[in-house]
Amino acid sequence: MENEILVEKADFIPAVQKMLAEKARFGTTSCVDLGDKFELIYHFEPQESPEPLTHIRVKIAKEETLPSISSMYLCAALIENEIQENFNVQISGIALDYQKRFLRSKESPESALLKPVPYAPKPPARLPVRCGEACPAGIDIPRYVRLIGEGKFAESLATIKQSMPFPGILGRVCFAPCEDNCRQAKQEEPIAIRMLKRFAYDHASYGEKATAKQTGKRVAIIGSGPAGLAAAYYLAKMGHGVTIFESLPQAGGMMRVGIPSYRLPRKILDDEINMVKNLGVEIKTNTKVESLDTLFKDGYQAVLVATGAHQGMKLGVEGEEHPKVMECIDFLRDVAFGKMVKLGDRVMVIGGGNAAIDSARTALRLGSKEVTILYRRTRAEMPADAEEVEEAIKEGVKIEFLAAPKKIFSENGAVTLENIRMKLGAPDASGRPRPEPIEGSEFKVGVDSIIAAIGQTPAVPEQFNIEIGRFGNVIVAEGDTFATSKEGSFAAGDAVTGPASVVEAVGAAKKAAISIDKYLGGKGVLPVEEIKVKEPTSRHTFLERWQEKREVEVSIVDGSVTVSVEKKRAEMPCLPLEERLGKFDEVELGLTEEMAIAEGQRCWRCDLEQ
Amino acid sequence: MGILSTSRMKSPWLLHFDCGSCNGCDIEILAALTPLYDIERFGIVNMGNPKHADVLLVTGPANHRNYRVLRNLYQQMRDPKGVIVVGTCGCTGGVFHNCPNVLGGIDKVIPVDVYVPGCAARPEAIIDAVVLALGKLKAYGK
Amino acid sequence: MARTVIPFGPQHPVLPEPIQLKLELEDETVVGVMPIIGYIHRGIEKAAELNDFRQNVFICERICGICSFIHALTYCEGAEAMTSVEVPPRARFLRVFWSELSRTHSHLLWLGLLADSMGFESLFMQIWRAREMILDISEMTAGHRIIQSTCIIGGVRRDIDKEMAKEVDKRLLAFKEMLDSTIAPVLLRDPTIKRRAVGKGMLSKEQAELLGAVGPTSRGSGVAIDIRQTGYAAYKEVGFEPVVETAGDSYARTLVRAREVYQCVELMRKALSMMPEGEILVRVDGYPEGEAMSRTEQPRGELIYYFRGNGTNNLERLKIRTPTFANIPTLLVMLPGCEMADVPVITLSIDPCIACTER
Repeated sequence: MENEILVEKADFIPAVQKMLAEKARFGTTSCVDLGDKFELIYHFEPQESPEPLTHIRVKIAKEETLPSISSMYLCAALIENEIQENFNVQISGIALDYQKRFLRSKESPESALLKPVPYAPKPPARLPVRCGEACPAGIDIPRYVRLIGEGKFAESLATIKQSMPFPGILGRVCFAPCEDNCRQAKQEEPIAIRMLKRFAYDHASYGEKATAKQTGKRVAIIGSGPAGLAAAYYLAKMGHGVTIFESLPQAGGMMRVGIPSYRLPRKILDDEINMVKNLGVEIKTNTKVESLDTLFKDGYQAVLVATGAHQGMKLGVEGEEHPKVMECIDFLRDVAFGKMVKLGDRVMVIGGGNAAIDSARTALRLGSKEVTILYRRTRAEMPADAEEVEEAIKEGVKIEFLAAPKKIFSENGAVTLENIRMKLGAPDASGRPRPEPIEGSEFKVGVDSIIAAIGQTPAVPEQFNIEIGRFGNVIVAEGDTFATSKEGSFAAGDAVTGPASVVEAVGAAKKAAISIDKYLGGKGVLPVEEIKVKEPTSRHTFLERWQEKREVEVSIVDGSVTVSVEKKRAEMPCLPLEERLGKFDEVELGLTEEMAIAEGQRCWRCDLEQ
Repeated sequence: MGILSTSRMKSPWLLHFDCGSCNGCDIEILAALTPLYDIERFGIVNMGNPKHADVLLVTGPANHRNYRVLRNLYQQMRDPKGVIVVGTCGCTGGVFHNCPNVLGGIDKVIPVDVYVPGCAARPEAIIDAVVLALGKLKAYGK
Repeated sequence: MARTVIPFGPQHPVLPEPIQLKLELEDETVVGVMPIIGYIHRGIEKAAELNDFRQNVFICERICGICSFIHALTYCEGAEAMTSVEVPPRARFLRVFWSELSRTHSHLLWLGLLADSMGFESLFMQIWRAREMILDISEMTAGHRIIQSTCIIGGVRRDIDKEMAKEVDKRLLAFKEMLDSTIAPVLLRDPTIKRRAVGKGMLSKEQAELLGAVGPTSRGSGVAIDIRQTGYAAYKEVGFEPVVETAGDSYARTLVRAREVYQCVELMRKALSMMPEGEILVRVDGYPEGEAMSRTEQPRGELIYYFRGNGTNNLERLKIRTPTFANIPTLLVMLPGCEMADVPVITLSIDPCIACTER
């Protein structure tokens, strides 16, 4: 046979050790009875790939003893035992002895190798879930909901922080596309994902870990709204020096001037902004940037334009210039900065978005008696959050559906609004039915002031010298890199998308930060903190909870099965209605600990389904 | 014929023991239970417990190690019982006749009622053998 | 917690063959295992020294009825090496065909038994129904359902003509369709199978190497070793890639075998289409002299034969190392820590063939 190695008994073990050093696998052993002696042939397979075997041949006298190689090749023990039994060859020191009873482990160093793998099956690969996919910021929703259900609030908060910097703000104002996509919504009510986020922020703390090594690069961010702050947060964490320029006296952008404080208390907003400041971000308020070129001249290597959409759209009706007509965005800003705004008793808000609802609820808090919202479609088409509309109606806001303004004029000392009734027609480009006026259905309403809230557009100064889209006045930015037409300048948030939501701005800013980091020569990797928690291995716990929380009643008469759901979606405790008017205290009070844990446990854990 | 012997005739339960065969006959016994041959439609059920079984199916030659196990199983079965040997090697020792550890045919250890030759025996032959063994069980009641 | 020792086997409903495992239990958890074998030892190695070396093909073939053709092939490869016989190319391709046929039927048999041990009766029946299609091909080409007996020293005994090859190809395609439609989806997606097999009987790559595991047991743990890569018979010409899974649990081993069934069908079709015309058998002169090793990949792993001849018509020594023999030590690692009810599934996952092991 080829590859033979003839050895004496004394050289036998060194020869096997040499095979071991060459990473040869042990194949088998053959024994031949030669009459006066035995010949043992040990077959090894060199390397990992199958090649011709190597054979170590050793001859021993019948009474001689051969040392066992099972201390080097455990798998040899079985074959040595067999040869010992069949041929009466003496082999000493076999790691596993099955002379009488097959495979009894002796106390030898090798027996430690036989310890089983710790019996911890790998967690199953997690599936993409609909709630997580719907989240613009890409938060690992199933995990943080589960962690709250397990009572691990700090870990839950850290999970949110992995993909989004402002749980306090978004826990209050997010429009929660995740909840619309929750699978549980099909059978029961969706998990209160947003409320749980707020709960995690209110009941746990998170210490920001040290940022990366300073790169020495400087980035200027124009606008301190959600997009600007989020981009500043990530860029600072990646080690860049960041300066935010804000034209208003206080930072926060739309979060400060657009969202009233009964929804987002200023303390929360200030805390989150301070968190960003503590990372070394400088915020220059009352500083209006005139031109991008000056920034580049000042030594900034990259600029992010996150100016938002702060310009109210014109109503486009006769008499719009009437002094009692104001833009909702100006109105909310004035209120936010504590300016006195005189509205009078009767207020008419025109529009159906969140800004309209916010204006209406703010007007009530300023002391107006009769606040009406005028919307040209029906409630089903209203872009505002259903929850918000509900709260507004509870507080006493009236909504006039299927009506649009036609003319504004003064009459008998008051403002009069001539409206026209509408009917729904064929769907338009946005998929909603187009409202069509009904001829001759005009009616007049006398009011004290009118707030126009029909939408906003970005207002990008011309001096920036970057390309502006043809529609909607938005900045043209590349899809993945967020780069604008000007070298080294990027854009994100409402300035690119038109008026959208906080969470979308944060999601876009995160991607823009990655792109800017790459532009500045970094790897574009966001710093993510690992969380050490035990992962569930299956949905078993879910199945058990399923049994617990449901009572199935079977009727004997007609055989019908009724499933009664014991645990419903947690109801957010709210401020009583009578305490709301006239002041700006936060309406939602937050979940209690028991409620949050019960809500977290209600989750179906679709991510673990196999 | 009483109800006991009727039901025994209509639904004989099998016990299968491998005495040292090459697996060929064993998998043919299993194949007889599966959809193509499906002896379960005749009420024949493969059981794991010797005390439940009416018919013992043995494959392979008896050897020095396992003949005691085989005898023990046979003794555990309640009367009336039939023994079927499946495969040439179980009938006479066959291809293994000169192997050092082999005793020879199963009939050197326990009494055999039906011999099924073949290497490996076909499922049809096994079904036929079970039917033949039932003849013995039928005679017992009379 | 009291320790109990429970004997499992030798006669047990899920084991078609006798092997005894003495399981040491702490409540329901297995903490120690002692496999006890030897119930069907026949002494085939010794018998091979008594028979004429040409007769040994038939006794080697009956070491194991499931992979009988591969045992015969391994014996013939070694005997041909010792008598310096060159096997005609057509015979080498036919050997690949029947080897893969054996492997297909062995893997299907095993998948069925696995389903049965999980209590998944309908899958068991489905798989065995598909297996009958393979047995029909065996009966058509070799004349017998289980033991083909077509391989002899110097070549093969039966030829497959063009017409039959066409029919075989048609049936293989029908078989593949059945796999696709009824069996593969269940194996891949069914939660019953996953719950019983995923994470059960873990064997890491290092342990697989340390314990010398072979075949699908080692390939399920990420060790890419398949003796067909050495290119015996016509595997070099046909060409293939070993199937490897890395998870190291019972499910990974199941997937390796399930994927190999597809591979087998492809190899069989390739072998038939690439088969050259010509002789299928050559005359063998002379007697075996000297030594030889032959290694093949059995459905369960690497099979090694060692031959020593002395120029007479009897072999001086024939040593057979079967794959299950190499895989049994892995049970010592897989079983401790599992629950009593998982023992059948984990034991089956190495595809134990006791008839091979004990010879």
